[in-house]
Amino acid sequence: MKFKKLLTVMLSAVMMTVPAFATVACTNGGGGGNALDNVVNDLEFNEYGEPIFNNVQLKVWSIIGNPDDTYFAQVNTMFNDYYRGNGVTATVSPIANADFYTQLSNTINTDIENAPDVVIFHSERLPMLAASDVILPMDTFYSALGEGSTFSVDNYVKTVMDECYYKGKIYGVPLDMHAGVWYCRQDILEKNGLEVPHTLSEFVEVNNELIKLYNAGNLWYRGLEKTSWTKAKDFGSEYTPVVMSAAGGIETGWIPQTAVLQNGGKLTKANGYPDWKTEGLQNVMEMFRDWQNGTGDFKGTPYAGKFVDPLSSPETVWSNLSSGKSVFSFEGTWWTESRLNEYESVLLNKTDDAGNTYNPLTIISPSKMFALDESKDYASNVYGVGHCVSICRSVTSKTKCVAAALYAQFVTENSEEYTRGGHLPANKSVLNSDKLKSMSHYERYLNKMGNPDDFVMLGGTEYYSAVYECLKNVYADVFLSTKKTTSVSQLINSRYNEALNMISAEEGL
Amino acid sequence: MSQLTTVSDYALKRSKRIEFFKRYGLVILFLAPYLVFFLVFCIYPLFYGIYMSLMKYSIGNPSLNEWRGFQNFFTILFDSGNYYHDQFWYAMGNTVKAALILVPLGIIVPLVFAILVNAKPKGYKVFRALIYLPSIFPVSASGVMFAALFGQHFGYINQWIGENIDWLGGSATSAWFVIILLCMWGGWGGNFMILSAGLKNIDKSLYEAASVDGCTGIKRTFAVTLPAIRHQLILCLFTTIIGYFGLYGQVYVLTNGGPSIFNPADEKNYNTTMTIMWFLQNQISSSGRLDVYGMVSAMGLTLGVIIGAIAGLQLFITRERKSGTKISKEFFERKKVKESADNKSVTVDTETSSDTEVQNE
Repeated sequence: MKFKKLLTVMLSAVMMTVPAFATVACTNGGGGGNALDNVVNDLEFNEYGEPIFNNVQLKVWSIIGNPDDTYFAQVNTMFNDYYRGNGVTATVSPIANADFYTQLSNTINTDIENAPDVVIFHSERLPMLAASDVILPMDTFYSALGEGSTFSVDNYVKTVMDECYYKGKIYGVPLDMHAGVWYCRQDILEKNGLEVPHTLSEFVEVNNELIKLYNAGNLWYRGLEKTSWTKAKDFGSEYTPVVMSAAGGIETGWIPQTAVLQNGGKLTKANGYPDWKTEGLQNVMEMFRDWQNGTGDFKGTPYAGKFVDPLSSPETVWSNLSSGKSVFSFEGTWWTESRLNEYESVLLNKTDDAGNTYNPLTIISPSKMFALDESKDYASNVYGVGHCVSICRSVTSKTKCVAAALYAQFVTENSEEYTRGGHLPANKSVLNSDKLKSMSHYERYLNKMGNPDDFVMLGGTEYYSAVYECLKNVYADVFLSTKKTTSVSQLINSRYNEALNMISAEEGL
Repeated sequence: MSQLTTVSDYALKRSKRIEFFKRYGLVILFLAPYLVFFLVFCIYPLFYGIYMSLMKYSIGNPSLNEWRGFQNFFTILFDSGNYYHDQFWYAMGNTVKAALILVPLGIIVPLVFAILVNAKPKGYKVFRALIYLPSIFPVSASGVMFAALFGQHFGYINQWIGENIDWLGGSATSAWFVIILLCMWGGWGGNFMILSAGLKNIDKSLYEAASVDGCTGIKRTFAVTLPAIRHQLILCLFTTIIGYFGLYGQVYVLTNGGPSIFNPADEKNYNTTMTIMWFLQNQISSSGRLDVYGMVSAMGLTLGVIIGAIAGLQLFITRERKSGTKISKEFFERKKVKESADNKSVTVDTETSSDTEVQNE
């Protein structure tokens, strides 16, 4: 009986104390919504007005993954080489995209010793992190440098910089901007007397020609394995010049967004609510569905249902391109260098019967590639995503905060090497620098990614998931066999209402 | 202020302490590792979860948390039209439907296997090993195998039958078919082992008696075998219901909640294989919000209460009924104890009276 009593007492104690501890733990954490209150002013200056850093070691968590993390590591090494003498060093740890945000939040709340000082993440998530005080406003730390500060928001491309504000304060410094691009088998086009398309109408026309040539048995093609030019109908009746997955993150993550922007629409309203329910989006999505299914304008044509490979999947994006079964595939820019190397090493020096060589692979900017009216100014808009550098709430020393701010400024102002990973720099001085323009990759692929001024970002919404994910689903829905009978306008309406419903629920949390 | 203790009090307390440790020390020693883990990983998270469910809880910055009382529960239970309410109950509906199919199958199929193996046909040990074999694979591994089998474009099943069926994305029915198949294939091993053990322990004399009474074949199974393993069946039922209400891994690997369908009646999209655990996990990992944890905790607790209620109902229905000879047996046992106690007191009285007599002498 006594043992039972003891157990009862112990369990009761646990029941009573756990919520009490939890309450205490929760009321002690953070700075009551203003994490800057926790930053201790220990900043000192030398006689030249420069901040004194005494062995400040910055822990950097970066969402930049394979393959471009190696390029960012080079920029980080430059920082260490430059600032080590001044008492600051930085160590970068790449963190997987899927784990980044929850791991960050959990670590700064439960394991502060291992929390990062600097975080590099996708800038469209900045409002969410700023609203939760996970990151610190940076204005204070640049202004703490007084006249010694060389940081200016004017040095950054405006649309990307605008993504780094939250409630009027700067919470991040933009590093880059990037988008999905069309990878194009330039050799197949040239061998068949066709040109690389740069608008939607050209794209449609080129694809029509490719299908006609194949059906007539006159299409020249080659692949990474079968490297000699042939005209055989190796792909039977399944030849499709475009491989575009319905569920791939790159297609869903860029195509509907760019379609909205290139047809005069906007992604978000000023209050952060979605604004993408547009006629332009509907028209482009209907066109894609008709391409896929051979319906609408494509019904009865020899190329009905032949544009997009119906078996397209993330797995076939590269395999179809390399076999020559497809000429166009949509993928991320960070693969550009490795893919160009792969194709050029195998095919660049291979001659045809006439002794000609062909450039095997190129990339096409999405600019104007989803615009129904190419003459409009907005037709060149490209939906852009960027990385930015912020200071984590775990930093409580002003000296460290200033060091972190200088780190953010340095890596963004010296990001030439990093752009090899297929990212356009957000810093204007880097963008216009002779150093960048003289680098081999600039002409090879970087300047084909589009005009930086055409990049339009999501728009700094706190409802990132509702706005962005629901629009991604519109694209996936269009190709789903379970929604074949549902009209595109119904799909767009339902996803738009879903986004509003999600926002309403989130506001009521 | 010091308290005076007599030597006898001290000795009494000390002896009580020693006796306590003598009696329970070993129990505490053996129980301690489990108790520590139970408190840290079960009790603490449970109460912390209750606390979170009453808050707008952000893992981004706990200082921004706000007290919500029972608002989260109210939203889940009554706020029709709210995203969390609608999705929660849709996912719950899917889970219940899946459980209604999976629970009977998850018990009947292993039971049939167990009865067949228990008949000890030639090579029964090989069958026993083969039947249990799928259970040793983790869900992720067996899920990948099933995805390869039922893939639309490169799946082995489609290649064998020469069709191009989109098993996992074509319709809710086909997707659920594959999920249920995986659940069955990977899950029957556990129940098979429990039921096999039960079958082995059945008293052979029951079968002999049944044979004498002319009860053979399938009739014997229903009249003798099943009642004899009812405790194992109840255990299987209990664990299987709880297990399939937590259905997650199979859905995650095979369909990730899809395929999505459009319902023209309410003009909404639904993830047809979204189970309640998948929805909760998805809210945490993919909702893009750090302040959803209070709501998710409330959903988790609501789910826990629902499972508890179902399990309680099941225990109530399958409880030992006071019927047959049980009541009379208990009566006689109680009577026996009472009689022996009465006899004891009579003996003591007799002894006392004889003592008195001696003293009188």
